[in-house]
Parts: sequence; C-alpha cells; structure tokens
Amino acid sequence: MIRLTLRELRVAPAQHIATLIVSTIGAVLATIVIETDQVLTSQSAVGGFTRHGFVRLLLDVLGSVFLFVAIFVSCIVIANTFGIVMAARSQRIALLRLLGAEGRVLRRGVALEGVIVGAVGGVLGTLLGVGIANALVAVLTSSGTFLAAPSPLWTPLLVAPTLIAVATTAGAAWFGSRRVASVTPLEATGVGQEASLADLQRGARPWLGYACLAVGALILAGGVAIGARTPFGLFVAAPGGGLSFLGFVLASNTVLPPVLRLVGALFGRSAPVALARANALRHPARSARSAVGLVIGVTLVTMFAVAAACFGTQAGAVAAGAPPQEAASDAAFVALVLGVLGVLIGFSLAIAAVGLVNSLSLSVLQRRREIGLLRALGLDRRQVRIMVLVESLQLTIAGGLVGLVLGIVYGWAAALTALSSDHHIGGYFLPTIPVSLVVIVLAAAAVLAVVASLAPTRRATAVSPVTALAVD
Amino acid sequence: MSDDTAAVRARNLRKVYGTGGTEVAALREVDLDIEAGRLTAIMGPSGSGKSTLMHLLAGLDRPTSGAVWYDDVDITGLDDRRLTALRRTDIGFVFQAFNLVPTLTVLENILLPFELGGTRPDAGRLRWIDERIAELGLTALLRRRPHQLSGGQQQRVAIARALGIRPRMIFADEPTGNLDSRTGQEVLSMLEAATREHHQAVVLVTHDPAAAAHADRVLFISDGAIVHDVGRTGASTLSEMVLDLAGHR
Repeated sequence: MIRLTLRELRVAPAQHIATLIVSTIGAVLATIVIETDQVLTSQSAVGGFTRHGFVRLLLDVLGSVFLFVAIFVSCIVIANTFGIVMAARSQRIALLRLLGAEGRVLRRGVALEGVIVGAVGGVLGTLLGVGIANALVAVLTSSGTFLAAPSPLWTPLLVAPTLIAVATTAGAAWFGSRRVASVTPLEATGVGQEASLADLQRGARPWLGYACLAVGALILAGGVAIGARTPFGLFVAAPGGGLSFLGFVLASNTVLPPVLRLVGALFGRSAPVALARANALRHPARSARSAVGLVIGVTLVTMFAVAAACFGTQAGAVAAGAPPQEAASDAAFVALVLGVLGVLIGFSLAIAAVGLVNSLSLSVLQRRREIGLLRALGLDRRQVRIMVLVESLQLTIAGGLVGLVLGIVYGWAAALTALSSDHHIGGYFLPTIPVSLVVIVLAAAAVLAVVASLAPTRRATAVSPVTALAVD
Repeated sequence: MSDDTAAVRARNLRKVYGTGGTEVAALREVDLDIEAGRLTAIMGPSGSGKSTLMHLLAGLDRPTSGAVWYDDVDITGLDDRRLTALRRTDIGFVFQAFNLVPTLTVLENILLPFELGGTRPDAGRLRWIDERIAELGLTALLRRRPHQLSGGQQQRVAIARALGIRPRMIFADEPTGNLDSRTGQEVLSMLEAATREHHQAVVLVTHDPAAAAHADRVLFISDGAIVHDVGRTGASTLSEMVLDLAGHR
C-alpha cells in the first residue's frame, strides 16, 4: 500500500498543491508566532518594551490564539481539499475496492499522503517563516522600533511548526478521506456513478453542528465575561469561538443555501443565470462546501480587522489615562500589532482563495457531461462563461456576507475579552466596524469570483457538445 | 473441485428496488448453479435484471432475500471486510471500461490484487502468472502503461489480472462493449480458452448474441426471471431468441 501511496504522490503531485500551500502557510504562521516571542524576549532583555507588561501579555495571548486559529483553519481547508481530491479519485478508489482493497487500508494510504505533504509544507513554511522574521527584525531595528539586540532566531522550538503541519495535515486528510469508506466497488462497474454525486452531498451533520454552535457560543460568552477581569479570558473565549465556528461549518449545509438563494436572486433571470442559480441550489451541500472556505477566510479577516479597530478606538482611552511617554510607546506597539495582523490577514485570504479555486474547478469538472449537454442544446460559449461566473459570484458574495457577520461578532468578542479588564476602558463597549472593511470585503469577493472562475471557465468552454453523448 | 460441483449456487434470489408504491422487482426468485469449467452467458435486454444478477452473484450488492452460496458460505451474510477479502481471492472481474489503474504498469496491474491484500505471490503462483502472461501475449508489454495499449491489449491485461488470483469465478460484464468486432472475438476466445484449460468458471454478461455464441450455456433473463436456459447455441439462433423475447414483452 505504501508503494501505491508513493506512486500517487509521484505521478499526480498537482492534486496536493492546495494542501501543500495551506500547510506551508500554517507553518509560516506558527513560525512567526514562535519568532515573535523569541524577539520580544530578547528585546525585553535589552530594555525595550519592558514597562508594558499588559501589552506584552496581550501579544503573547494573541500569538497563542493566532496559532490556534491557524491550525483550526488549516484543518478545515485541508479536510475540504482532501474531500475534493477523493471525489475526483472515486472511480479509481472503486476499482481498488472491487479488486479487494479494504476501505480502511485505502484511507490509511491517503492519511500517509497527508503526512508526507504536511512534512514538506512544514519544513518549507518554517524556512519561509524564519526568513520573514529575519527581514522584519532587520527592518524594525533599522527604523529604530527595535533596539539592536542579538535575536536567536533558530531555537529547538522551530520543530513545532513541522510537527503541527504533519499532525494537522494527516488528521485532516484522514477526516477528509472519509468518503473513501463510502465508495462502493459497484461504482467501478459503471453503475452508480450518479449515486456517487449524491454521496458527496451526504456527510451533513446539521444537528451536531447546531450542538457545537450552541455550546461554543456559551463558552465564548463565558470567556467574554471572564475577560471583564483578566485578558486570560481569551483562553476560554478562543476555544469557545472555535467550537461555535466548527459548529457553523458542520451545519453550513443547512445554513448557507438560504443565503445563496437570496444572493442568487440579485442576478436577474436570463437563462445562464437561472442555470447557475438552479445549480447552486440543486447541490446545496456542494455549494456550501465551496462557500465555506471563503466564509472562514472572510470571518478571520473581519474578526482581526474589527478586533484591531476596537483596539485602536479603545487605545485612545488607555492613552488618555497614561503618562505621555508611555502612551507614545504604546502607540508604537499598537502599530506593530496592527502590522502583524495585516500580515496574518493576507495569509488567511490566501487560504480562502486556494479553497475557492479548488472547489469551483471540481464543480465544473464534475459537470462536464451536463455542460456538454447544455452546449448540445444550444448554450453558446459566452453563456457558459456567464453561467460559471455567476455561480462563482453567488458563492463568493454569499460567503463574504456571512463571513462579515460572523467576523464582526467574533472580533467584537475578542476585543471585549482582551480589553475590557483594562482599568482605563472600564467595561464593555460597542464594536467598531470599519466601513471601508465592508466595502473592501465585498469588492474583493467579486474580484476573487472573477479570478477563481478563470480556470474553470476555460475548462467549461472547452467542453465539446460530444461529451454529452460519450458513454465512458 | 469436480465437474459436478457448482462453483456458485444462487437460491431464491430476489432483489427489489424502492419501497411502498414505487417498488420495482429487478430479480424475482432466481435459482441458478454456475459450474466450473464452463463459460456461462447471461443475456437479456437492458433493464432485464442481468446486471443485478451478476452484482448479487459477485457480492457487489445485497439481495432483498435469498442466498448466494460459495461452497457452504452464504456470501449475502458476509460483512464488508470479508466480502472484500472474497473479491481479492475468489472473484476476478473483467469489465467493459477496461478498469486498469492508469498510473501502474501492466505487470503492476496484474499483481495489484496481491499488493492490495498485502501478500506476495509465492514462486508457484508467480510461475502461474508468468504462464498466463505468455498465453495472453503480454510478455513484451509488461512495462507499458495502460494508455500505451490498444483496447484489446488492455482487456487482455484485465483477463490476466483476473486469472492471476486463480479465482473461483470470473465475471465479465460486456467485455467486448468497447472493442471492434475482430478484437472482441479475440478476447472472447481467450476467455473461452481460460475456461476450458484452467477449469475456470466464467460468467459473461452481454446483450450481444455473437459474444454469447462463445458460451457453453446461455441464460436469458427477462423481467427479472430466467426464461431460457440453453446449451451452446449459434449466434443466429440466439439473435432469433432475443427478437422473440422482445416481441413477447
């Protein structure tokens, strides 16, 4: 079986590019968190930032939370990606099952693929992360923000990102390959190919999702309450937020389709639009799966942006009550935190984009015959293009809207937990929602839709009407 | 295994799809013995239940009621794990779509069932496989990949893979469906030879009378029941029987 796995990696490495990118990004994040702590420790040793115990504590806590979030997101996107890879491979899996391979054994082989891809991504990400940290330290030192101090960037701790990448990728690959177990050998006989599509829609666990959502929300609320006394409430709030978000992802099959329907109604009634809309709603689980990656990305972006905006607003209150010199130093630190946030936001967007391009490509790939039929019935290339683009837009805009709402809630909760214990702020406050953020997210969603639909569109318009007649 | 022992016996085999008002009986109360050393063809129009019968005999699908006996084991009661092991050791498949793994060479495809079971074929088995490879004219092609082969060659690889495990049964589902008629005849002759020379039980599912004419026994399925059970019969007679059946439906 190991030979089969290795051959799969050697012959068709392209199928794991998305996973490799995501695990690399995750390792970069983990590395940067570790390096941030290293650098801050060495800066403290030479006398920088030592007076601001609260801000440092906050940054360490934020770092841990970022790591948690990064691992969580990587898991979801990688599991999703492996689900897609398995769907594309289902015919071959069915053949192996027919010839006597146990589903469990095949799944172990897939998990091994995850281990290998994760290891490569982990090492790559660590190297990249150290490189980025080096560059940042150099820039910040030359700009005078940092004091010149020897920063030991290589520490034994740097094994952690690779270990984390391997563990998350293997685990997510195992979870994402659960479809392998449901592929019947009968599918190899040419029967039940349609059923395999129906299978793809299953795996919905709305009740479990609702349960996670409810329990997670309660824990999150508890964390916010603790946050009124100490920012350590983040250690309660973060898992709560994660759990509730996991619940949302599990329940997305039932939560997202109504949003998709609403957004779909915005695009009018022409034939290709109607086809795109009908398609999104005919396979609600597939559409939800495509959109959920984006929801994750936008939620993160929004969460960080809203948290940062709240931080910015509330920092004014802190500054007002602090000595001027301390306030100036605080402001520098806030700028640093916002800079780090900006970098992290870029990463989460990249993760989301990878997920979306992947999903759309699959959606077109699986509908080759249907697109061929439509072409045979007289849909021209331009209309095919519109159809794919509208489907893409519907997904990105629905994902964007849902992500905005969730992100505002999570970002507000994070800011409340982290800041409300500070005596200068004194209690709860309303969220600061940057209007520019909403505009940028929706515009970016539209741009992403166009970019993500480029490759699938090329594939879709290349489908000849003859495809509809092929027996295969 | 002696001549009078059936390789597989089916008793009261019934398969119903759907429930309540939408019930469709794909197979009704079929009794059938498949003998070793004979090529048995199952014929019938689309939707007659011939594919369903094959899937049940091969343990790919579960009957609504009835039993399929491999010796004294009723395979309809086996769990997925034991069915998987059964497919690996007792059943060979040859299908219309050639069903080779595209990333593996010819030899690797032939040895795949062993790899999937985590076993190594012993020396005796390797010799047996070598002989089948030679017999099927694949010796020069062992290092090629499926896409470098013609349709007929691919189908011969599938036959070699099926024979390699020395299965109790080989199921061939429209094995000539994607081949031109001359290549198709060649593949059928090879299945026929394997049946005779290695005392193999082979079930050939087809709607092509020319293919069924290679069989030692031809079963006609119509509306989920066996309506004719005849010995070796010429293609033209089989064609008439098919047309006759269509007229009576």
